[in-house]
Amino acid sequence: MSVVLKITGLSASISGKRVLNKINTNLLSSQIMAIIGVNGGGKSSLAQVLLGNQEYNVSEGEIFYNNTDLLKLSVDERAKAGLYVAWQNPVTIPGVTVFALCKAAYEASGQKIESLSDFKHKLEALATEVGLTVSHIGRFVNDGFSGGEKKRLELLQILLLKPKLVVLDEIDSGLDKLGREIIIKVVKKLKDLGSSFIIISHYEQLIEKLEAEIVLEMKNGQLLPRIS
Amino acid sequence: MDNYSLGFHSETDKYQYIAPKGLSREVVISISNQKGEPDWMLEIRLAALAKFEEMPIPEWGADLTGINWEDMHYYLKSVEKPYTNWAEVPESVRRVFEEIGVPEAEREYLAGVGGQYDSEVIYHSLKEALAKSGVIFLSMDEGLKQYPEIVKKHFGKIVPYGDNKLAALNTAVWSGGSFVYIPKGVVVDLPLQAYFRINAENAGQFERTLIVAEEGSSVHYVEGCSAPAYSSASLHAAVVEVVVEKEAKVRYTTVQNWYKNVYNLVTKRAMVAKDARMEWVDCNLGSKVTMKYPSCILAGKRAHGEMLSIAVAGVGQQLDAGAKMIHLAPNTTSRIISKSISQNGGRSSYRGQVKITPKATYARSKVVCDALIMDDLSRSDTYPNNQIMTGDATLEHEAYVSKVGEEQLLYLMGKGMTEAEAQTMIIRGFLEPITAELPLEYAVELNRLVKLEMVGSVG
Repeated sequence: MSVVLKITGLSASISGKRVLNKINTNLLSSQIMAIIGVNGGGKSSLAQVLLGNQEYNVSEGEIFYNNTDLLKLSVDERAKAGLYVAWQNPVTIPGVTVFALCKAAYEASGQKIESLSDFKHKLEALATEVGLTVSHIGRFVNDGFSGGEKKRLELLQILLLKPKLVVLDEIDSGLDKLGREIIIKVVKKLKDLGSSFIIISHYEQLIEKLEAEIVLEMKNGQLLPRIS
Repeated sequence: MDNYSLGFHSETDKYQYIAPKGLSREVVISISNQKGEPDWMLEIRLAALAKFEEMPIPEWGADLTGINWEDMHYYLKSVEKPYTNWAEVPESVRRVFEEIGVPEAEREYLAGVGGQYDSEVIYHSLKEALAKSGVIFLSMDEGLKQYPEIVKKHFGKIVPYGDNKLAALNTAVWSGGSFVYIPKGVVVDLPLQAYFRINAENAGQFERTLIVAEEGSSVHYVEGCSAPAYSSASLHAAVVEVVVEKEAKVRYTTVQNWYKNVYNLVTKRAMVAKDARMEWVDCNLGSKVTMKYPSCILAGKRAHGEMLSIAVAGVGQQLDAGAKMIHLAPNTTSRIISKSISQNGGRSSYRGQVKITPKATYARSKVVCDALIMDDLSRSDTYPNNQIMTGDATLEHEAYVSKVGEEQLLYLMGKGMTEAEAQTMIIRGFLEPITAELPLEYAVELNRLVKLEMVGSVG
C-alpha cells in the first residue's frame, strides 16, 4: 500500500489565530482515518487547509499528496488530482442545477460525457442510492435542501467522482440512522476501489462501524493518538 | 473587449446611397423622397426635426457627451427593397448575416424573420400559414406603403416625437424597423425575429417598430443586435410602439449585444388594454452607453405589464436601464425584475418608475432589483421613483446588492472548476430567472456571451 497523504510539522492560522499546531500524520491508500475531538479543536481547519482555502495561512510544514506538494496546488488543481472535501455546511448556489454542478465536476475530473441522457440516468440512479429523489437532480444546488439532503448530495458526488482521497467533515450531522448506513455503504464501496478517507465526526458508533484503521483526536490544534 | 466575435464588417462601397454627415432639413427631405412616402409622414418628420433641435441633450442619465452629432451619417441605403428569398440577398450582406446565424435560426424555429442592415431592412420572410391567417410582418417602410391607414392610426401615438430628444430624432430620420400586425384571435406560436446590424462606421441606426396585437391575439417578437468593432462611436436610437388590445398578449424580447462603441438610446412603450398582457424581456450586454426604460401604460382594467431585464456592464460601459409602469385603470398589475452585473469598472443603473394614478384602485406592483458587483472598481445604482396616488394600491420594492460569494467560489473550485468557470457558473445561476424565460436558442447564446464576458474579466 502506498502513502497517499503525508503531513509533516503543519501549522496554520486564520485571522492571526493559530488553529493547527505542528501536525504530523500519514495515510495509506484504502485506509480510513477518523478524527474526533471537541468543537473548535481544529478539525474543520484541517479540512479547509487540505481543500486549499486561502483564508488559512500555512506558516510551516508540508503536505504531500501522492508525492505531490499539495500546498503548491490551487483549489481546483487539488480537486482535479483526486481530492474531495465534503464541507460541514455545503453552500447554496441559486439558479445552478444539481445536474449542471455534477456535469461540471465530472468533466473537471477528466472524465468524458458521451451522452447527456445516459449521464442524467446515471445521476438519477446515484440519487436513489444516497436517498435523494430523481427530482433533486433538476433542483438548484442545496436551495431549500434540508441539512440531511445537503449531505446526501455530497455523497452522491463522491460516488460519481470516485476521488482518491475524501475528507468528510461531519458528514453524519443532519443524517438519521438510514443516512448513516448510506455513509457506511458509500465509504466501504470506495475504500474497496482504493480510496482513502479522513472522517471528522463526533459519532463514535459511526467510527466503529467504519472500522477506521487510524483514530486520532484533535485538541488545541494538535493531532494526537486517541487516548481511550 | 476583444472577445467580441461579431466585430467584423463588410465593405461600405456597396451602398446605393449615403446621406452626407450631419442632420438638416435637406437630409430629412431626401430620406422621405427616396422612400416615396405620403406627405403626412414628411410633415411629421420635419416637425420632429424642429423639436429635436429645440430640445436639450438629456443630462439626468448616462453621459452622452461622447456623441458627435455632426460627424454621423443619418441614413445609409444598402439595397433597393427587402428581399424575400435569401439567395437573392447580395453576397457581401448575406455573408454578414450568415456569420451571425440568422438564416439558420429561421429554418429551425421561427415564424418569420427580418434583417436590417444599417438603415434598411434587407430581408424579410413570414411563414405562409401565418400570412394566410392575416398576420403581417413587414419592414416599417413596406408597412407604411402597403397599410398606410393602420400606420397613420398608430404612428407616434404612444411615443409622440415630443416625448424626448431621441424620440424626436428617431421620428425625423427613422428608417427600417418592423411592422407587425396580428389580427383578432390569432395566436402566433413561434417567435417572429428581427435582427439589427449596424455595418458602416460613424453611422446611426434609427429603426421604428410598430406592433399591433388585436383583441385576443398573441405574439412573441424577438430582436437581436450587433455591430462591427470600430473605434468611433455609432448611435442607435430606436422607437418601439406596441398596441396590445383587449385580452391580447405580447412578449417583446431583446438581446442587445452592440459593440462597445455604440450609444444605444431607445424608447419602447406599450399601451395595454383591458385584460391584456405586455411582457418586456430585455437583455443588455453590449453598447458603450445604454439608456432604455421600456414602459407599459396599463390603460384597461386588469391589464398586466411585466419587465424582466438583465444588464451586464463591463469596462467602459454604462448601462442605465429600467422600466416604467403607469397604472391608469383599476386592478392593473405590474412586475419589474431587474438583474444587473457590474465588473471591471462597469456601471449599471436601475432607473424605474411605477406610477399608480387615482383611478387605478386596487392596483398592485412589485419591483425587484438585484445587483451583483464583481469588484471594487464597478458600480451599481438604483433610482426608483414610485408614485402612488390611491390608498388601496400595493407596491412592493425590494433591492439587493451582492458580491459573488467567496464561499460559493471556493465550493465550486473544490469540485475542480477554475475560478473563471466557477464565476461563470454563479453568474449564470444569478441570471437564471430571466434566461429561463428566453427562447432556448437565445438562452444558449446569452450564456455563451456571459461566458465570454467573464473570461475577459478573470485572471
